[in-house]
Amino acid sequence: MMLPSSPKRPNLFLRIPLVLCGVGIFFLIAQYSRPSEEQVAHMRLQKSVKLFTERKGVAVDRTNRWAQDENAAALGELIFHDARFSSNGEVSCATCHDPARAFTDGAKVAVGVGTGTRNTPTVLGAARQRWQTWDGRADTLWSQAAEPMEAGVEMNFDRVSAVQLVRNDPTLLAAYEAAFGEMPLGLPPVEFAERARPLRLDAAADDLSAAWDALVPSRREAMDAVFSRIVKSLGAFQRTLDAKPSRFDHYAKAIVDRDIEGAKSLSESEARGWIVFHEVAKCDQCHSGTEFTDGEFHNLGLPGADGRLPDDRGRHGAIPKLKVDPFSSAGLFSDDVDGKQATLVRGLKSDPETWGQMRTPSLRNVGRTAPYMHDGRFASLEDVIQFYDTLEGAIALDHHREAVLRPLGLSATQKADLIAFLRSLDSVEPIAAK
Amino acid sequence: MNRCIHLFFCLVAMQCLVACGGSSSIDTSWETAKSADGTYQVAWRVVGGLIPRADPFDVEIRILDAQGKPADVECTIDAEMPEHGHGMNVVAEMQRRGTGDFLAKGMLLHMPGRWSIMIDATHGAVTERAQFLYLMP
Repeated sequence: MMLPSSPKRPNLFLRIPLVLCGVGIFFLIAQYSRPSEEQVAHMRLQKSVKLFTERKGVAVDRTNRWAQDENAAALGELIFHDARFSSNGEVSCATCHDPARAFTDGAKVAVGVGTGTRNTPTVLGAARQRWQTWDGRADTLWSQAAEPMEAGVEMNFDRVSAVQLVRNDPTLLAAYEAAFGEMPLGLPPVEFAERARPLRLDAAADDLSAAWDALVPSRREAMDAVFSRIVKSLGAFQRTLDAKPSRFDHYAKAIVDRDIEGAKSLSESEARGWIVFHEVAKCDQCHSGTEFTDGEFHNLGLPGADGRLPDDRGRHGAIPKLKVDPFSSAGLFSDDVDGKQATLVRGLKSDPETWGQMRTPSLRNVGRTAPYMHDGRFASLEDVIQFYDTLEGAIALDHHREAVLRPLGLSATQKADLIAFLRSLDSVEPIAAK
Repeated sequence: MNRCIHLFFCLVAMQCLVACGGSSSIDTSWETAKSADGTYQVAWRVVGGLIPRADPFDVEIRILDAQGKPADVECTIDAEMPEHGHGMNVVAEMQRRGTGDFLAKGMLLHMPGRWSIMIDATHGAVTERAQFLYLMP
């Protein structure tokens, strides 16, 4: 049997040009397949904004079994706008969380029955937050609603009156029963009109707390049960007040989809502002994620009165309260005491470094929620950026200071771009005004 | 023909390498390290496979002694950001599931940046620490 003859190889003079051609083609392909600087920049931009195309709906709140109940939300909406739930009959939730002002009041600090010390945060998108209020002393929407109603400087109402108001008002009672069924046993007669509320951890004992203590335990328990449902209805309503998509969201989607027309959702200045926000100032070290907040607490070194150390305890004062709050996710009235949120509450650290820490606010609708910071000290976004730009007046917080905070030293154009970008985070659709 | 087969397997191998690299999330497999004095082999992994950004997560931990047997120790876990001078705002709830077998519930890395995750194994009065670095994207 004959072996097949080996193929004849081309001679050397033919092989060299072939190899050279191959090498040439390889380099040509490599050259043309390498992305241009513009393409690289676009890919970086795509990567940086992709997160915002993945924004999901509001997560289920397992701590409130009525969180998605329409009847509960309907009752909550009635109460939210009802000023009778205050000691002077003039302050409702909507007084400070005014729908016409993006659910804030436009004031430096909140003014209810008395004058508070902190700026009113918006309710828009609050259902997406892990902690509520500036110091996070509440950890769910419904538990947050419990405090203002009974706080002396806010609505200064009381638990017995709140329950009796719902029982004695036909509209409220019908809405309550539609959501929760019949009132529990053990309540006082409907004509019972003594004001009484439990003593808050940070409040001084008074006539109202003494009256509460004088009630028989079974009556207090029944009152607590109804009150917990009242505030859960408020939670269900506020859950519907989401921060709707902004022009920036549309821009992010267009960038990811390579939609040239859609990318015009932002002006050139606003688009440059995102780069300043993300790459230059790195604001998203704290204002991160789809809601532009890490949901946690930081101390910016904002001075207290006369430049002294901050006198507002912030997170440090909130943690002990939260840990014993029967209305927290880990408390008696929670519907998910073994859930993730409850685990976090039980694990909260009350370190000295939490002194003066405030929650990173979401930047959605930030253009509509002036003034800024926990005490409303900055009237405009320009003032806020000026502070971060220079840190002028900031007090040193020894080794606990946030090391990420350094003067930014932005140019005038960069500041203008950054502010333009921040304003692009306002929801496009109008906010329901009632 | 042999060259073609080699080329094919090379391409497959390269594809696998590319697929393994470039992920911004932590590896889903166990991370392991020796404790500082080398007494324990400490391994951990995230329940669900990924460390979520600014969201709570749970961690499984296994600690082996020098003989490779489950170590009879107490365990704690914490994390800090060395450059920021602060750590987590919470203490994870540690559950003992068996000898050397633990579940830490309620971890929360709330900021992007470099985190140092510290797992302490304590036997009697002696604590040894295993440290891991994680870059939150």
